[in-house]
Amino acid sequence: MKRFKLLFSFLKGSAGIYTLAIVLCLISVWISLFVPLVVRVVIDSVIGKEDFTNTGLLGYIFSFRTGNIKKDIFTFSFLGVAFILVSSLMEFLYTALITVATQDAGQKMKNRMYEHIQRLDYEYHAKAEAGDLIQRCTTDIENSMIFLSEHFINILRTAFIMFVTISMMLSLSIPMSVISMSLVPFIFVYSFYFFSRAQKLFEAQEEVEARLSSVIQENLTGVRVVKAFARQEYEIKKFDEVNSLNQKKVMKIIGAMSQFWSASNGLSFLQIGVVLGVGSYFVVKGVFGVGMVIAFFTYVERIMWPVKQLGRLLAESGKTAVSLKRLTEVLVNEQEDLNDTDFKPEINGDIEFIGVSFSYPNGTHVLKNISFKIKKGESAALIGPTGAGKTTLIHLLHRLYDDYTGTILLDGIDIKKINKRHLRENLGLILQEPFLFNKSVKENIRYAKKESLDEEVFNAAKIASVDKSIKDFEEGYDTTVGEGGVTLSGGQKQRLAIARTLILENPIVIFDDSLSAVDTETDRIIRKNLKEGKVNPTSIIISHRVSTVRDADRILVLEEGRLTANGTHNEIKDKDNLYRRILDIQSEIEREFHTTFA
Amino acid sequence: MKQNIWLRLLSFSKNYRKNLVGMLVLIFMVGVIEGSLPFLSGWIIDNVIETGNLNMLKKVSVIYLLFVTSNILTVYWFIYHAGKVETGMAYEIRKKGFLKLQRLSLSFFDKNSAGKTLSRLTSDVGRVCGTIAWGMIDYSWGIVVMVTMTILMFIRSWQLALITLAVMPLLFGGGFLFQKIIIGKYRAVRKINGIITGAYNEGIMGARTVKTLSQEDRSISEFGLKSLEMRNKAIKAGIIGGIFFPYVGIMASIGTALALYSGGLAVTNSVITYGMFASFIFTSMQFFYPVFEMSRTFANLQYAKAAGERILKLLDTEEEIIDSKDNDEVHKVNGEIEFKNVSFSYVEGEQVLKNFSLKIEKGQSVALVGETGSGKSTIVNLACRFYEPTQGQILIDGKDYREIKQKDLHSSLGYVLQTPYLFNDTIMENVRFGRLDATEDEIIAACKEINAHDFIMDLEFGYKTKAGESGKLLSTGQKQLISMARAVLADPSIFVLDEATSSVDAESEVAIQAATNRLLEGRTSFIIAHRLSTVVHADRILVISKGEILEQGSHSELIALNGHYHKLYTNQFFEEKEAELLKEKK
Repeated sequence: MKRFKLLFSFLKGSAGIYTLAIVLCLISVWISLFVPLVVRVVIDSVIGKEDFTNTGLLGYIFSFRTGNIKKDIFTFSFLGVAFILVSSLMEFLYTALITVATQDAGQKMKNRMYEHIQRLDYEYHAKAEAGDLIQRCTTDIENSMIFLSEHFINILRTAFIMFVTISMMLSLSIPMSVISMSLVPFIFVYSFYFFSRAQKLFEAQEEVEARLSSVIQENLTGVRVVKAFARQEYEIKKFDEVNSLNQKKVMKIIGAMSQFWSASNGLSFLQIGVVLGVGSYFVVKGVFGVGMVIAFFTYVERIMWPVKQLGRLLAESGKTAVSLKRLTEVLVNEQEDLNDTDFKPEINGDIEFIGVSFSYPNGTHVLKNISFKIKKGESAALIGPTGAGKTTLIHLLHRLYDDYTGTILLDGIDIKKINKRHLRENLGLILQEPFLFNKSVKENIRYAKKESLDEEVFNAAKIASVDKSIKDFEEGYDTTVGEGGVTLSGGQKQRLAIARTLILENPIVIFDDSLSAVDTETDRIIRKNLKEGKVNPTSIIISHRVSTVRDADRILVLEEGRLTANGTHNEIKDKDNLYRRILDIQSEIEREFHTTFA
Repeated sequence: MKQNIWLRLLSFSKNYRKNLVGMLVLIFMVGVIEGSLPFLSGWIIDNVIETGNLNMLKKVSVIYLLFVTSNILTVYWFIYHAGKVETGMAYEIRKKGFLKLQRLSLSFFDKNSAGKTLSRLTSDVGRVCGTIAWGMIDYSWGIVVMVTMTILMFIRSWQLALITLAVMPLLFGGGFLFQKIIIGKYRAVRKINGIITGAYNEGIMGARTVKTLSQEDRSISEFGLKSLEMRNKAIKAGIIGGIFFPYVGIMASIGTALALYSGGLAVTNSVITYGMFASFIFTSMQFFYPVFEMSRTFANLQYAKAAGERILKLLDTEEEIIDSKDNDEVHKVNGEIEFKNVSFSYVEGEQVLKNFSLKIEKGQSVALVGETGSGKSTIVNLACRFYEPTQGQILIDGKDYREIKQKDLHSSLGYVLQTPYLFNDTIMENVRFGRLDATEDEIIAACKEINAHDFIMDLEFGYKTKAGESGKLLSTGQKQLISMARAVLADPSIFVLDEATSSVDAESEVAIQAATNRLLEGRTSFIIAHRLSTVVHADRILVISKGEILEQGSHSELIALNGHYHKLYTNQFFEEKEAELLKEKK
């Protein structure tokens, strides 16, 4: 129930519409239920000779009888149409209202999920499973919306129909009502029980279907292996097994359905038969007229479908509860507060780490007592084996984690005092595997700076040395990237991402191994363009490429969380550290190369 | 192709013809019974109620019970048969489709994304078969019920029948016209829904990029526009869709009112009996159910039609590489390969290979080097007959390879991909893929041979460890070793290796090198090489650029030339070595 509270909270703002819709729905149902009464009165009292005993609205209307049978039949026959007309109008209105309310709520749900996910921290996204998250945002939201637009209102409506029908029947004849309802509880319980149990069959079938999909998927992605080893027959056999298993599982569901529908249909007919039989008996005995039998017949028929549905609806609401749980699981993750302080100083680009140590929540020490200083405009290369803590160091500078010991200063200011958003806006971080959006090249480059001029875009592309590649595309800067557009090589992607960051003209730019897919020459050109451009930002470059590292103003060597060297190429090349060892091996290869092939 | 889509799709149910016939016969019975029910009720009123004959009531009760029983049985069996038809058709279409996929050449898989092809065989098939089976039921039931009711009404009183049915054209016409309009609206909603899913995809996959650029607000507001559009379109469709049910209700009630009015007059004038009057009223009330169901199914039929077209398109895709049929002999491939003036283009007009000739003796290893897009992979693709030359010939053991069965050629082929592909199964089964009848001992022996045994035994479940998608514990290097063990087990006469560009961990590196050398021994081999040591060991090195051989010879010959190879060597291999060394200092 707590979960449904979340769902209804999205109705805030459209609660009025939603309630009005429910009220209209109930009124329309109520009015439509008068129709059998009208029919009955026409048959029994207008055409037949029975005394008219109705009071209330019907009684009032019937007091206008003229006595002219032809005229009366006409009037009251079309009175039924009038009732239906009103109730249909209301039905249309409530459908429209419920659509508006549900879509409003759905839009809120979608926005809320999207926004929440966007505002979750970097760490969450580094670990998140994209497919599962997308599933939650689409299927689970959809399930929840269906509950609002159909299930919930149908449960109320069905309950109401039953309530009104039963009370109308009771007002007509108590013994007839008892007889008319005698099988209803059984049908309801049976349908609820059935649909709860059917969920398991559905789950089992879904599992097999997932296996079917994965066999096809694997065959498609592994098509070269299958072909190269001529294993088509083996694959066909494998597929056939799961294909026929799926056939059996679906058949099992349909088999169960056929049991349910035939049994519940049979019960309904039995109930109607009982009404007709007993009703006829009473008519023969002179207890009431034929019209009464027809009215009960209509009521019972009308109540049968809802009764079967109610079982299904209740069983399916369980599904909504699961969906809501899956949504809550995402929403309970805390958002990152980007506006933690109001302090937004202008940032020049002096970076200093003083005795910084950090361990991850699980206890592994990643950084141990790191101290260094990078001056404004300097280029610093960060080198070290995988897992040495390079990326963590960058993350600390970005304030993705705040619980380190020691101090990090930007222009002499403790970064913990600087507004998070402002800080990040000033640090241009370029990822190794950047994500490009499904937009044109131009839109991708100016993604972070919407109002930038074409000139700025071209300039950024030039600095990132990607302008020539772009011009080679058929539609140049208007070429769409990604699905349905041009396929980019890893190097082109990285360079576009670099351009996208450089357009911001940040005082600090960080390359998190984001030149790895670019060739050495282009790598050098990009770094040169950056240095000679009008901004000349402080740059931190994580790289595995010795030529890149060698050119830096400062080389920082990280080994097992410790800073083992800090200085220019000349300063550190003769001391014992990783950089030195790499250089050694390098010259060894060089020697070998020349002696072997010279 | 222009043949009726429904008939073609329905032809897949031919193994289930009995069920199809059974289903139609039963639904006919159900329709007739349900259609005549109002008249049965009317008869009861006339002959039991009006006459006050209670003995008759007992008889009628028995008849009614029989009716209920037969209804239970027929409903049970027609759903059962419909299920058989639905699942059977789905099974057959999927089987055919999968078979087709096994026969299509690689060009198909290059052009069509796996996701789309997958949905052809999963959701599209499901939709088509469900709609056909149940749509047939809805339509045949509806038609039978309506025809039965109409006939009975006309028999009882044609005047009254005409009056009662007067609104039917409006009901029918309006219903179908309406569904036609709404389909367009729903299509728009689905389209924007797809866009929203795409937006979530981008928002989630690109979240880290958004964060590094501090563009959360923008990303959120862009999404807001899309979700607003979705809301507006969905509301529009919902409101228009909301007209349908009330419309049908009003029309049906007018029909009932007409029956009530004209029937009422007829009763008072004693033209018809009470029972008949009741029959007409019941009929007019029930007549709109079938119309409602049929026009609702109509929209589903349109979606199913589109899905059916996509499925048939897949099934009709031309197979480009076909074995010549008149060839039954088994050819044991020795391993001599010759390209004779081969030209090739993936897309018309963009030639990748031009008049390319090359002869490789049995047992010779050939390393292909060159930039991305130079045509190295194309040469390998052609040699494996994943594609066929647009012009020229490829000879294997002196024979045009189009005359050799694909199965024979591929059975003699060992192929290790750049990004090793492992199935989502145990390591044991993945290696066994190389030779299906291999024993466990043979598989272990193959792994030992290439030094993969030790790391496999170190894994928690040894050879029973799951590889593939869920096998995240395996490093790229280890995956490569497993795919090499697969090739060792296959013991091919031609070995094709597409070396990985990315470096792997030091330990695997050594093992992979050894495994490569082991696999090259005595085999004709093609290597798309990225590693220095592999190239050095090859018998022949081809420097490929723009589909042509620029230089060829042994390593030392080419270095001595001091040309393209020398440059490539220094630029590319050298640097890779650097990066590798950096990584292994762990």
